[in-house]
Amino acid sequence: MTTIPGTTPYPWPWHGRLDPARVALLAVACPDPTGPDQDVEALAARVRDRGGLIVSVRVRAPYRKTGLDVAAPPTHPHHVVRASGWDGFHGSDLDDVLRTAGRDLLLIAGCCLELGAHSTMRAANDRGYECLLVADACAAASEELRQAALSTIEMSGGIFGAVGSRTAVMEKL
Amino acid sequence: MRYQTVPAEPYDWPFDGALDSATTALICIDWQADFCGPGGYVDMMGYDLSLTRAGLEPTAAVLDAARARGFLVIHTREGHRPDLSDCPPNKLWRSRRIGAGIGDPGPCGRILVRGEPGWEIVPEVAPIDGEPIVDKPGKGAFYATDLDLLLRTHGITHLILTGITTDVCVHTTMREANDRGYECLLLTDCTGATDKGNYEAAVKMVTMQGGVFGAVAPSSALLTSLGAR
Repeated sequence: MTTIPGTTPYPWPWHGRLDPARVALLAVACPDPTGPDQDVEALAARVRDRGGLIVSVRVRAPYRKTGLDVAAPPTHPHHVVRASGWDGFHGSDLDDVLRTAGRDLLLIAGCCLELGAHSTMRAANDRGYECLLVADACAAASEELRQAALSTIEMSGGIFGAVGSRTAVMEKL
Repeated sequence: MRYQTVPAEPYDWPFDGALDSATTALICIDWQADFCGPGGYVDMMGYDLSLTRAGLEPTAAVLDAARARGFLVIHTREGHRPDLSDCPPNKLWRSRRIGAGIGDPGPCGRILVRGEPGWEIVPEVAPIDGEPIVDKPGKGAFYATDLDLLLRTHGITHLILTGITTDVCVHTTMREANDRGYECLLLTDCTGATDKGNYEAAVKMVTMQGGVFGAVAPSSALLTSLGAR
């Protein structure tokens, strides 16, 4: 059994088989007023080094513009996918990229936690992917929304998956 | 028939001023015994049912007004095939771990299984003849369903959302709808969550960045616009 230490509400992944060859890091890039995130870069370097797949998921505001530019974390991704909404699966080839590469364990990081990261995690979970939100590699609009976004994931036994920390992921990989 | 815009946050809804019964649908999400009835899935997990039941009465009033004015009403239900072949193994494992295993027998029949008593929509907001019901295996009502096709076929561009739970199935569906270009209004007293703080944050998230997923309003504002009160 191999799981990431300290994940909530359950040891992730659920089946205890943390195989880097099945892992993909989804670096979600929303309109980001704070700019690129060094925490995501360090996490991506470790995941890549251990055989994980790095996918830069560029999401954007749908339909009505918010007036903010999209900033992508500089993660030298294996793949870049472009979604046509906040959900990285909507209008993109993300599902095909992950299936083709045999990746069903997803680490989710980026900005913003309650927007693109959350929508993408929700969509991934509905599709059967086993997701870990890397909380300290996600930026949120406010502390209040961060806490609620994490709590929502942890309710009902992990309704969208689990929550973990960047250091724990890097240590275990 | 066109109606006045609804006073809403963070902008009066809809943004294009077109509250029209021909292009607007009322979506009632997962008002099932499993989520708001005694002995159902949410009850089995030990959560406070009064939080998920709070929206039933206002939703019934909105349903009356919408039906009387000819709005399309669509209901959704979350549930799995009896053999659970459409239930991802991680979802099944998590539900068992918290003591409310999908497919396990409970006071309302097998939990979250299609055709069981717990899967039925509760009587207060039950569908009437002719109203489409969308059965979904996940949280989002657009994933692996024909909801998008139904809405397009009816010429629907605007959605008014009620249902449970706010932060899970309602939010996921609202996010999916917004990504697809539907103009969405969430009725704040016609929805509830298993945690009050998460309900409040889910409502607030909609209003960020000028309405990142649409707008929110109490049902009284909608009923006033419809001339129903």
